[in-house]
Amino acid sequence: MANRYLDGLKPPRTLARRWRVLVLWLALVFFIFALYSHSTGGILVGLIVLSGALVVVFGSMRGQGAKLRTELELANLDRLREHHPEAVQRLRRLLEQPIVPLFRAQALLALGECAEMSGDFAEAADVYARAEGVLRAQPALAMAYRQVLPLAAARRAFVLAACGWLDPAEAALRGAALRDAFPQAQALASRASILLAARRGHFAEVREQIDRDRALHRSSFGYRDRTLLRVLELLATSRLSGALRTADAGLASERELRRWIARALPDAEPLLGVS
Amino acid sequence: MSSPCLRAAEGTPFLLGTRIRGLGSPSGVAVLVLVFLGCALVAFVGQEPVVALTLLVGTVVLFGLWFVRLTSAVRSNNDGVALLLRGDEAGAAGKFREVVGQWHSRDAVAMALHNLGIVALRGRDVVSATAILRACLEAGKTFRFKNVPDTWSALAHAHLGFALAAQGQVNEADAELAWLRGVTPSHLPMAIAYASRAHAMMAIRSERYAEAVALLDADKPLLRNVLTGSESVLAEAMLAYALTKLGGVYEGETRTPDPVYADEESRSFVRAYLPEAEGCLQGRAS
Repeated sequence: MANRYLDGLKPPRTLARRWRVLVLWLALVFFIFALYSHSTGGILVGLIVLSGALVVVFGSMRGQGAKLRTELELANLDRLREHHPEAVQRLRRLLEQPIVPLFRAQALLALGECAEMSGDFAEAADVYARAEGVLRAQPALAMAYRQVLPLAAARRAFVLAACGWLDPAEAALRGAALRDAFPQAQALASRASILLAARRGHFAEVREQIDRDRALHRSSFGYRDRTLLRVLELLATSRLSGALRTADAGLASERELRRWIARALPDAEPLLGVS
Repeated sequence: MSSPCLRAAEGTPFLLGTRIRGLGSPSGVAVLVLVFLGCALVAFVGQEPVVALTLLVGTVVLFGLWFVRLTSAVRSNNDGVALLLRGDEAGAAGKFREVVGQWHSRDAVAMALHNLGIVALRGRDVVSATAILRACLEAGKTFRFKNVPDTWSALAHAHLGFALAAQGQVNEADAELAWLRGVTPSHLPMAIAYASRAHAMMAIRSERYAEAVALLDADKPLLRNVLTGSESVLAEAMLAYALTKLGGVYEGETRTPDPVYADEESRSFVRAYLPEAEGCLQGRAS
């Protein structure tokens, strides 16, 4: 399946990282030779060369790290301002850089969020799966892995449910419960679970979960997800009572949002008046 | 750590006299580890294997201790935020207090103080929030590498700007927000959103209503995506109030404020920060 968020990404230019490894190796070899020279002057020169190489390598890494972090923050700012094409462009540029796995996973997560906010749920699922893959391949980053992975899993469960792929969504949701997860993951998992129940037609469960997690949703979500949950509640109430309830007047001017909700939850179209 | 602003924070009901502690920073630990390793190398070259081994073991122990403390601080903070998101403000404050009162890195203490400041702001205790956020800024003043972002200070300045503006201390609020103008423009999107809200509150308190509308309009998607719960209702109420004060005319055109739906909790929040805007709120049919 074509994915315009990931397709055409050039492999990271690893040369930038390789010169550092080369410089460090050369300095280390020089230092070892200096040790075997058995002269104080030689050892001193070896130490100076090794220290110099360390300073150059770590200094350049520090500068590049700051630049890449700024790029990720700018992409997130564009995403939150709903300038999605600019955010996607920045994130794709970032993913073509030789960046550390945790940073790569964060960039993929942000790219997935752009796809999700644009209503491209199938493509978002693919991007989130890629982020999870990057994290799962890094056992050394135990704490960071346990913090970020549930975010990707919960988001993937949501977009899979939005696509109507309910069994894979349920499987993804199981990966969203980890001890050290960022607290936001709980709210994202709850959102995915509620959408999943609604897509399965279990409206009593939808009502129950919304009532149980109301405080969590209220404190965790911006307008988009809050509105979706409000519509889910209206849909569940309508289905359980048999009387059609329509969305608030405030949603009338939110054409894009109504379309987004209708894509995630086609059953809600009559409530939204999507043309 | 000791300073008048830390003492002021310790006197608030949210810290209950807990002594604010804090030791070093991740960047400082990194430098220390490098220095120890360098010394171990020099000792090894100088044919002092016992000294070299001692330094090496010392480095590993130092790093291990730091890592365990960091993990414990991050866990307590995460648990606190999880409780806060579920509406258990007292439980959340307890978790953050735990971090503040123990020996953790100053960044971890700053994170806990920031979160405690949010608990105070949500509890409408602006005076305590101001003291705690100032303490957060104090705790965040530590050695850090250029690429390690000062996240908690950025957020604390933005929240502090808002708290001061809400109390009508416009000049002090402006001074806090000036810090954010001095750092990288990309510095943490959330801090930018909170700063934007604080600027709008400053404009309202200074009766510059057209400016408030311009600010809230310009950052509307950002604020809608970042602000949650009662905070988002307050931002909408600020816009509606500013438009009402302009007589429903903005830039020469008639503009009716959108309806602002609020439950009892949001209404109480708006009443605490901008009581004049309560009239702009509407109830929602359940």
